[in-house]
Amino acid sequence: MTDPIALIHLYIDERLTPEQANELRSRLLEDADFAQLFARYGLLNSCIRNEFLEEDIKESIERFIAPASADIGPNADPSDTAQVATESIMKPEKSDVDKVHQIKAQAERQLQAFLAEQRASRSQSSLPRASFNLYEVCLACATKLDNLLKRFVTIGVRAAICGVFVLVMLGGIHYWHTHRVVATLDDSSHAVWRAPRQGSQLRRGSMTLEQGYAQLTFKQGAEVLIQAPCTFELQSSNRMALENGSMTANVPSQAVGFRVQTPWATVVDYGTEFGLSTGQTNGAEVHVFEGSVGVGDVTSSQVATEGQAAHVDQAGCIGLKSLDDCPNLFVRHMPKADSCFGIPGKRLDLADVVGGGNGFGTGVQGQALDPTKDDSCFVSRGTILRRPLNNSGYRAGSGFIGIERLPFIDGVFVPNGSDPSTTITSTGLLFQDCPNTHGTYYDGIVCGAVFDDQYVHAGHLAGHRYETPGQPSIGASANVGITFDLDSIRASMSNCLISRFQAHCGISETLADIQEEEDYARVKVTFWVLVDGRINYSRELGTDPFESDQIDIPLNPSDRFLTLITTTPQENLYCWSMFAEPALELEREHR
Amino acid sequence: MKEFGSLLGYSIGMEQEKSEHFKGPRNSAVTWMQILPTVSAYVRSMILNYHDSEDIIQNIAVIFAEKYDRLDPSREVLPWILRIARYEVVNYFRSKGRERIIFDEKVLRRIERAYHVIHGESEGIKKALHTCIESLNDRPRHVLKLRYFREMEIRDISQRLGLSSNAVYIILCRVRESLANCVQKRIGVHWKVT
Repeated sequence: MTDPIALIHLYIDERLTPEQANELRSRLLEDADFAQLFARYGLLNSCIRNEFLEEDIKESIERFIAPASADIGPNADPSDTAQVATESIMKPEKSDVDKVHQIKAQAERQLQAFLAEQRASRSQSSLPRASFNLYEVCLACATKLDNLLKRFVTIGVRAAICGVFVLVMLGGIHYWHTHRVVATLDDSSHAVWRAPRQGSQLRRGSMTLEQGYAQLTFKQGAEVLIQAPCTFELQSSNRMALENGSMTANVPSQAVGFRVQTPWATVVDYGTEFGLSTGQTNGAEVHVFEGSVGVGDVTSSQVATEGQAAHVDQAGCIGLKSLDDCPNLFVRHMPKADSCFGIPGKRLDLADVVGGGNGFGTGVQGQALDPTKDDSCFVSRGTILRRPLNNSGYRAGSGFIGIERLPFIDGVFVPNGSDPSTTITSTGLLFQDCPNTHGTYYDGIVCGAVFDDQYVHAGHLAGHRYETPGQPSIGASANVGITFDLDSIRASMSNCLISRFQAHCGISETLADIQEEEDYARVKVTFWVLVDGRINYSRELGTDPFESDQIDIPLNPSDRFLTLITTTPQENLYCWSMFAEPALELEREHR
Repeated sequence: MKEFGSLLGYSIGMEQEKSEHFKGPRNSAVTWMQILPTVSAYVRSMILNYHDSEDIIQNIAVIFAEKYDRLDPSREVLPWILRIARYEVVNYFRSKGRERIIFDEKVLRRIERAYHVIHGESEGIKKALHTCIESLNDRPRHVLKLRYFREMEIRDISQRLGLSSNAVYIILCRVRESLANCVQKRIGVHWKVT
């Protein structure tokens, strides 16, 4: 049997084992003396907390009064205000009645201003309010206080007490309003905050997540997944502002009306799940996964329903389109540790971008870009393989194909030096030194390098197998090229710099498993990386022995297009070339 | 909502003794102040999450303010408000879908009765504790403040102070125990341990 006092301490500090919890329950039921002991310790515990709260409140009142001292009255010495209040708290019977009246007048002005602010806030909101209504309580308190003051104002000592009461109440309101907990931090992954965080209780105020993900639950129930880089402000138990960055919100029925303010529009959730992305320059984008949301401002608004995306541009114009026509911009669930290569604020996964994602795990493995099909370029690899081949068993290139649907990708193409205009960007930049190829390809540019001959398998480089989102790769069997739009990627991540491009490139070593050495030994592929049309990297890699190389290219903020190309002079089905772990390394932009 | 609720009690408390001389109808604020320590302690005993317990105390305060004027003057206030507090606690457990291993309704009633019995000691405990806390050394006081005011978990306190969780727990137990002894000595009541 546990010592009764030890049992109570264990309970207070939440350290009871299930057996001890049962013991506590039995004793409370069976032993009235123990129940009283439990109650006494409960009272002691509660009073300890009050002691510290009251100590803080006294300091808070002094801080609250001091800045407003100049408004006290034309004849008052501003430096006396805090002192007067403190004296009033400690020794009301010695306070001067005039000073008390001045404090009272100041307190009433503060209260009126506070109530006016509350009224304005109420008038802007047509949404159901939380169960506790601060406005009503303040109004009731103010009315009661006014009645009290009418009764006691002629009695100096008691007036002093009442004046102090107002100040104490206002101090409390002010303190409560600015310090209350509005959400909890439930989970995080690779999270780096600008200011160090302590504990999981989140109070009103601004926060910046510089890297990774954070999962918050608002007091009213809305669950929000924040993706770095993101600056946001917690405003109340059901309201936040997103200054820049991306988030998804899952809003249960009790939190319907959850509101997110952005620089461009306000988004109000009518239940149940949406993604929101915004920045200082590119408007706001809302994707509705379930239910519906209201998007707009005081002048115009639209309701976006399930399966729709709403874009608010810099002029405040709202456009709706189908989610089918949008890339997967939003991470909807907290990724498991090490399941994703891309980490918001640290590293963007270009293979995920090829798969239609945002670079942080929302892309689809096996999705591919067909560099000859203008209207249905973004399809599965299987779809490309089912498309007809030419007489020699390949597909012939047809010039640069722009990809509007995937904003991070400028376009794809089949490089061929014998074609005088191997265009590699939508702005018409050319690959001037493109070698002669046959101008053909086999299966396009694929999210997740897979190859098939006797069986479908993931690509291998230097003994590593790349087949999961945690070890991503781009399949780029020669001859293909893809250009990423770095400006568009930057626009999606406020205050973030793209510092380098890194990848591991080579020909999959699995070739040795399915071909005789004399066949695959002839395979050679040249890997190219161009930045704004300039060659930053080129190397021919072969299979005798199997070669691979690490690419590391620094990037400047002014660089717009990053182009990856594979070329081969042969027309060989087994040019199983790939870029493994292709990443844009990210850094926080320090302004 | 903690500060607002506690503050209301605190501010009225300063004039509590004087206000008994005031004429007019029974003053609801003064009554609330008198029962607040017991009600808070009752709720906080069951709901250890600081913010949730303060929200519930605030809800009880609102119910009290709304219904107090309609309360039969001959009825005792404390049992009535403790019953309301019990309903609020039960609703809280229900809303959280939490399995009530310890605090089912039967246990809540027992605790409610215990608080009713010890209510008369609350003012004495409060006053004595004020003096006892002042006499604490800086270090235990700091640990106490991190736990009770900063609302930090024991694990977080241990990281902050470079101690093991167990060491922090032992410090907290010892400080609470020394405060309990100090309070008992000052109010001249020995808390019976069975």
